[in-house]
Amino acid sequence: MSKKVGKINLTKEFVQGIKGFEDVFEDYVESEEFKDRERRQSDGQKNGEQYELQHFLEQENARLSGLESFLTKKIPLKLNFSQTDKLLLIQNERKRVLREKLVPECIRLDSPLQKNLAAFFNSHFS
Amino acid sequence: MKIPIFEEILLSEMTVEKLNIIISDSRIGKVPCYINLTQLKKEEAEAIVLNLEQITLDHNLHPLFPYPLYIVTPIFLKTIFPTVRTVKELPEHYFKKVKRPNNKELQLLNKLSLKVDKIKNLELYKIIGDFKTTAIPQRLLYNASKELYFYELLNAKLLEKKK
Repeated sequence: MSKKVGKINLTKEFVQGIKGFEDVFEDYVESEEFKDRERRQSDGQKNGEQYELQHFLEQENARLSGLESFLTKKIPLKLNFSQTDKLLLIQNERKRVLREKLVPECIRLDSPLQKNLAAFFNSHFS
Repeated sequence: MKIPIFEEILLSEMTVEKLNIIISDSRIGKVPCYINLTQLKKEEAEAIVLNLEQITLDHNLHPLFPYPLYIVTPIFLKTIFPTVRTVKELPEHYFKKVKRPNNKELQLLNKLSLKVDKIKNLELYKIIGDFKTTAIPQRLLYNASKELYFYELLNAKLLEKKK
Protein backbone atom coordinates (compact mmCIF):
# COMPACT_ATOMS: atom_id res chain seq x y z
CA MET A 1 0.00 0.00 0.00
CA SER A 2 1.25 3.50 -0.76
CA LYS A 3 2.93 5.49 1.99
CA LYS A 4 0.33 8.25 2.03
CA VAL A 5 -2.59 5.89 2.39
CA GLY A 6 -0.58 3.90 4.95
CA LYS A 7 -0.27 7.02 7.14
CA ILE A 8 -4.01 7.24 7.68
CA ASN A 9 -5.20 5.31 10.73
CA LEU A 10 -7.43 2.58 9.35
CA THR A 11 -8.84 -0.39 11.23
CA LYS A 12 -7.58 -3.86 10.36
CA GLU A 13 -11.04 -4.91 9.17
CA PHE A 14 -11.20 -1.93 6.83
CA VAL A 15 -7.75 -2.69 5.37
CA GLN A 16 -8.86 -6.32 4.83
CA GLY A 17 -12.01 -5.05 3.12
CA ILE A 18 -10.17 -2.91 0.61
CA LYS A 19 -7.64 -5.60 -0.31
CA GLY A 20 -7.23 -5.82 -4.06
CA PHE A 21 -7.90 -2.11 -4.61
CA GLU A 22 -4.39 -0.93 -3.60
CA ASP A 23 -3.42 -0.06 -7.18
CA VAL A 24 -6.49 2.14 -7.60
CA PHE A 25 -5.69 4.02 -4.38
CA GLU A 26 -2.03 4.42 -5.31
CA ASP A 27 -3.00 5.86 -8.70
CA TYR A 28 -5.34 8.29 -7.00
CA VAL A 29 -2.72 9.36 -4.42
CA GLU A 30 -0.20 10.06 -7.19
CA SER A 31 -2.76 11.90 -9.33
CA GLU A 32 -2.79 15.69 -9.76
CA GLU A 33 -6.34 15.86 -8.36
CA PHE A 34 -5.22 14.49 -4.97
CA LYS A 35 -2.12 16.73 -4.86
CA ASP A 36 -4.23 19.76 -5.73
CA ARG A 37 -6.65 18.97 -2.93
CA GLU A 38 -3.85 18.61 -0.40
CA ARG A 39 -2.26 21.88 -1.56
CA ARG A 40 -5.59 23.71 -1.19
CA GLN A 41 -6.11 22.24 2.28
CA SER A 42 -2.68 23.34 3.53
CA ASP A 43 -3.14 26.82 1.98
CA GLY A 44 -6.49 27.16 3.72
CA GLN A 45 -4.89 26.16 7.02
CA LYS A 46 -2.11 28.72 6.54
CA ASN A 47 -4.63 31.48 5.77
CA GLY A 48 -6.62 30.55 8.87
CA GLU A 49 -3.52 30.81 11.04
CA GLN A 50 -2.56 34.07 9.36
CA TYR A 51 -5.78 35.80 10.41
CA GLU A 52 -6.01 34.11 13.84
CA LEU A 53 -3.68 36.60 15.54
CA GLN A 54 -5.29 39.59 13.81
CA HIS A 55 -8.73 38.41 14.88
CA PHE A 56 -7.50 37.87 18.45
CA LEU A 57 -6.01 41.37 18.59
CA GLU A 58 -9.20 42.91 17.19
CA GLN A 59 -11.21 41.05 19.84
CA GLU A 60 -8.86 42.31 22.56
CA ASN A 61 -9.17 45.86 21.24
CA ALA A 62 -12.96 45.66 21.40
CA ARG A 63 -12.82 44.13 24.90
CA LEU A 64 -10.48 46.81 26.24
CA SER A 65 -12.56 49.59 24.61
CA GLY A 66 -15.63 48.19 26.39
CA LEU A 67 -13.74 47.94 29.68
CA GLU A 68 -12.39 51.46 29.33
CA SER A 69 -15.83 52.90 28.61
CA PHE A 70 -17.27 50.96 31.56
CA LEU A 71 -14.62 52.25 33.96
CA THR A 72 -14.40 55.85 32.74
CA LYS A 73 -17.95 56.65 31.59
CA LYS A 74 -20.55 54.23 32.88
CA ILE A 75 -19.36 53.83 36.49
CA PRO A 76 -18.90 57.61 37.09
CA LEU A 77 -22.31 58.23 35.51
CA LYS A 78 -23.85 55.64 37.81
CA LEU A 79 -22.08 57.08 40.87
CA ASN A 80 -22.86 60.75 40.15
CA PHE A 81 -26.34 60.53 38.69
CA SER A 82 -27.78 57.36 40.18
CA GLN A 83 -31.51 56.88 39.60
CA THR A 84 -31.77 53.82 41.82
CA ASP A 85 -33.28 55.58 44.85
CA LYS A 86 -35.95 57.37 42.80
CA LEU A 87 -36.83 54.18 40.96
CA LEU A 88 -36.99 52.32 44.27
CA LEU A 89 -39.46 54.91 45.62
CA ILE A 90 -41.68 54.57 42.54
CA GLN A 91 -41.57 50.78 42.69
CA ASN A 92 -42.43 50.76 46.41
CA GLU A 93 -45.38 53.11 45.85
CA ARG A 94 -46.72 50.98 43.00
CA LYS A 95 -46.26 47.87 45.15
CA ARG A 96 -48.25 49.46 48.00
CA VAL A 97 -51.13 50.44 45.70
CA LEU A 98 -51.35 46.97 44.18
CA ARG A 99 -51.10 45.26 47.57
CA GLU A 100 -53.97 47.38 48.91
CA LYS A 101 -56.02 46.34 45.92
CA LEU A 102 -55.11 42.65 45.97
CA VAL A 103 -55.20 41.77 49.69
CA PRO A 104 -58.94 42.52 50.34
CA GLU A 105 -59.73 40.62 47.15
CA CYS A 106 -57.80 37.55 48.32
CA ILE A 107 -59.02 37.47 51.94
CA ARG A 108 -62.73 37.54 51.00
CA LEU A 109 -64.37 34.24 51.98
CA ASP A 110 -65.73 33.66 48.48
CA SER A 111 -62.50 34.69 46.72
CA PRO A 112 -60.97 32.21 44.20
CA LEU A 113 -57.92 31.80 46.44
CA GLN A 114 -60.03 30.89 49.50
CA LYS A 115 -62.16 28.53 47.40
CA ASN A 116 -59.13 26.77 45.94
CA LEU A 117 -57.47 26.48 49.35
CA ALA A 118 -60.71 25.06 50.83
CA ALA A 119 -60.96 22.52 48.01
CA PHE A 120 -57.34 21.55 48.46
CA PHE A 121 -57.59 21.06 52.24
CA ASN A 122 -60.94 19.27 51.98
CA SER A 123 -59.61 16.82 49.42
CA HIS A 124 -56.51 15.99 51.50
CA PHE A 125 -57.66 16.19 55.14
CA SER A 126 -61.33 15.31 55.16
CA MET B 1 4.08 45.86 22.99
CA LYS B 2 4.11 42.11 23.48
CA ILE B 3 1.19 40.02 22.23
CA PRO B 4 -1.16 39.57 25.22
CA ILE B 5 -0.74 35.84 25.77
CA PHE B 6 -0.12 34.02 29.05
CA GLU B 7 3.21 34.61 30.73
CA GLU B 8 4.33 32.56 33.71
CA ILE B 9 5.95 34.43 36.56
CA LEU B 10 8.59 32.20 38.06
CA LEU B 11 9.25 32.73 41.73
CA SER B 12 12.89 31.77 42.20
CA GLU B 13 12.92 33.01 45.79
CA MET B 14 10.03 33.60 48.14
CA THR B 15 11.40 36.43 50.31
CA VAL B 16 9.47 39.71 50.34
CA GLU B 17 12.40 41.67 48.85
CA LYS B 18 12.86 39.19 46.01
CA LEU B 19 9.09 39.06 45.36
CA ASN B 20 9.09 42.83 45.19
CA ILE B 21 11.79 42.80 42.52
CA ILE B 22 10.08 40.01 40.55
CA ILE B 23 6.73 41.82 40.56
CA SER B 24 8.21 45.19 39.57
CA ASP B 25 10.15 43.53 36.71
CA SER B 26 7.15 41.52 35.52
CA ARG B 27 4.55 42.60 32.98
CA ILE B 28 1.59 42.12 35.35
CA GLY B 29 -1.38 44.08 34.02
CA LYS B 30 0.18 44.50 30.58
CA VAL B 31 -0.25 40.84 29.61
CA PRO B 32 -2.20 38.03 31.32
CA CYS B 33 0.10 36.31 33.82
CA TYR B 34 0.00 33.38 36.18
CA ILE B 35 1.99 32.18 39.17
CA ASN B 36 2.20 28.45 39.71
CA LEU B 37 2.05 27.53 43.41
CA THR B 38 1.05 23.89 42.96
CA GLN B 39 4.24 22.61 44.62
CA LEU B 40 3.73 24.58 47.82
CA LYS B 41 2.07 23.59 51.09
CA LYS B 42 -0.99 25.44 52.33
CA GLU B 43 0.85 27.65 54.85
CA GLU B 44 3.55 28.59 52.35
CA ALA B 45 1.01 29.35 49.60
CA GLU B 46 -1.06 31.49 51.98
CA ALA B 47 2.00 33.45 53.10
CA ILE B 48 3.12 34.09 49.51
CA VAL B 49 -0.34 35.15 48.37
CA LEU B 50 -0.57 37.55 51.31
CA ASN B 51 2.79 39.07 50.39
CA LEU B 52 1.78 39.23 46.72
CA GLU B 53 -1.43 41.07 47.60
CA GLN B 54 0.54 43.67 49.55
CA ILE B 55 3.15 44.08 46.82
CA THR B 56 0.62 44.45 43.99
CA LEU B 57 -1.22 47.04 46.09
CA ASP B 58 2.05 48.93 46.66
CA HIS B 59 2.79 48.89 42.92
CA ASN B 60 -0.78 50.07 42.20
CA LEU B 61 -1.49 46.95 40.15
CA HIS B 62 -5.01 45.55 39.99
CA PRO B 63 -5.37 41.72 40.04
CA LEU B 64 -8.04 41.78 37.29
CA PHE B 65 -7.65 44.82 35.06
CA PRO B 66 -6.50 45.41 32.33
CA TYR B 67 -5.13 41.84 32.31
CA PRO B 68 -5.57 39.36 35.16
CA LEU B 69 -2.95 37.69 37.32
CA TYR B 70 -3.97 34.11 38.07
CA ILE B 71 -2.76 31.98 40.94
CA VAL B 72 -2.51 28.29 40.10
CA THR B 73 -3.00 26.21 43.22
CA PRO B 74 -5.13 23.20 44.14
CA ILE B 75 -5.54 24.64 47.67
CA PHE B 76 -8.51 26.88 48.48
CA LEU B 77 -7.17 30.37 49.18
CA LYS B 78 -9.11 33.46 50.18
CA THR B 79 -7.50 36.06 48.00
CA ILE B 80 -8.13 39.01 45.70
CA PHE B 81 -6.49 37.12 42.82
CA PRO B 82 -8.48 34.81 40.57
CA THR B 83 -7.40 31.22 41.30
CA VAL B 84 -7.47 28.02 39.26
CA ARG B 85 -6.52 24.49 40.27
CA THR B 86 -4.33 23.58 37.29
CA VAL B 87 -2.63 25.35 34.38
CA LYS B 88 -5.07 23.59 32.04
CA GLU B 89 -7.98 25.40 33.71
CA LEU B 90 -6.61 28.81 32.70
CA PRO B 91 -8.69 30.54 29.98
CA GLU B 92 -7.74 29.14 26.58
CA HIS B 93 -8.38 32.53 25.01
CA TYR B 94 -4.92 33.70 26.07
CA PHE B 95 -3.04 30.64 24.91
CA LYS B 96 -1.85 31.44 21.39
CA LYS B 97 1.10 30.46 19.24
CA VAL B 98 3.87 33.05 19.37
CA LYS B 99 4.59 34.43 15.92
CA ARG B 100 6.08 37.54 14.40
CA PRO B 101 3.27 40.12 13.90
CA ASN B 102 2.84 41.75 10.49
CA ASN B 103 2.28 45.47 9.92
CA LYS B 104 -1.46 45.40 10.49
CA GLU B 105 -1.04 43.35 13.66
CA LEU B 106 1.63 45.78 14.88
CA GLN B 107 -0.79 48.66 14.39
CA LEU B 108 -3.41 46.79 16.41
CA LEU B 109 -0.82 46.05 19.11
CA ASN B 110 0.05 49.75 19.37
CA LYS B 111 -3.63 50.62 19.79
CA LEU B 112 -3.92 47.89 22.40
CA SER B 113 -0.90 49.21 24.27
CA LEU B 114 -2.44 52.70 24.48
CA LYS B 115 -5.67 51.29 25.88
CA VAL B 116 -3.83 49.11 28.40
CA ASP B 117 -1.83 52.13 29.62
CA LYS B 118 -4.99 54.23 29.86
CA ILE B 119 -6.73 51.59 31.99
CA LYS B 120 -3.62 51.05 34.13
CA ASN B 121 -3.44 54.77 34.88
CA LEU B 122 -6.96 54.84 36.31
CA GLU B 123 -7.53 54.60 40.05
CA LEU B 124 -8.89 51.10 39.65
CA TYR B 125 -9.15 50.19 43.34
CA LYS B 126 -11.14 53.38 44.07
CA ILE B 127 -13.43 53.02 41.04
CA ILE B 128 -14.24 49.36 41.72
CA GLY B 129 -14.66 50.03 45.48
CA ASP B 130 -17.08 52.91 44.83
CA PHE B 131 -18.96 50.83 42.30
CA LYS B 132 -19.40 48.02 44.82
CA THR B 133 -21.17 50.39 47.22
CA THR B 134 -23.94 50.85 44.65
CA ALA B 135 -24.60 47.11 44.62
CA ILE B 136 -26.93 47.06 47.67
CA PRO B 137 -29.52 49.60 46.37
CA GLN B 138 -29.30 47.95 42.98
CA ARG B 139 -30.14 44.56 44.56
CA LEU B 140 -33.05 46.16 46.48
CA LEU B 141 -34.37 47.61 43.22
CA TYR B 142 -34.10 44.20 41.57
CA ASN B 143 -36.07 42.55 44.41
CA ALA B 144 -38.70 45.33 44.41
CA SER B 145 -39.15 45.02 40.62
CA LYS B 146 -39.50 41.26 40.92
CA GLU B 147 -42.15 41.60 43.65
CA LEU B 148 -44.00 44.27 41.68
CA TYR B 149 -44.01 42.06 38.59
CA PHE B 150 -45.59 39.27 40.67
CA TYR B 151 -48.32 41.62 41.96
CA GLU B 152 -49.01 42.90 38.44
CA LEU B 153 -49.32 39.35 37.17
CA LEU B 154 -51.67 38.47 40.02
CA ASN B 155 -53.68 41.61 39.38
CA ALA B 156 -53.97 40.84 35.69
CA LYS B 157 -55.04 37.24 36.34
CA LEU B 158 -57.42 37.84 39.24
CA LEU B 159 -59.01 41.21 38.82
CA GLU B 160 -58.76 42.19 35.18
CA LYS B 161 -60.26 38.84 34.16
CA LYS B 162 -63.44 39.72 36.02
CA LYS B 163 -63.96 42.83 33.89
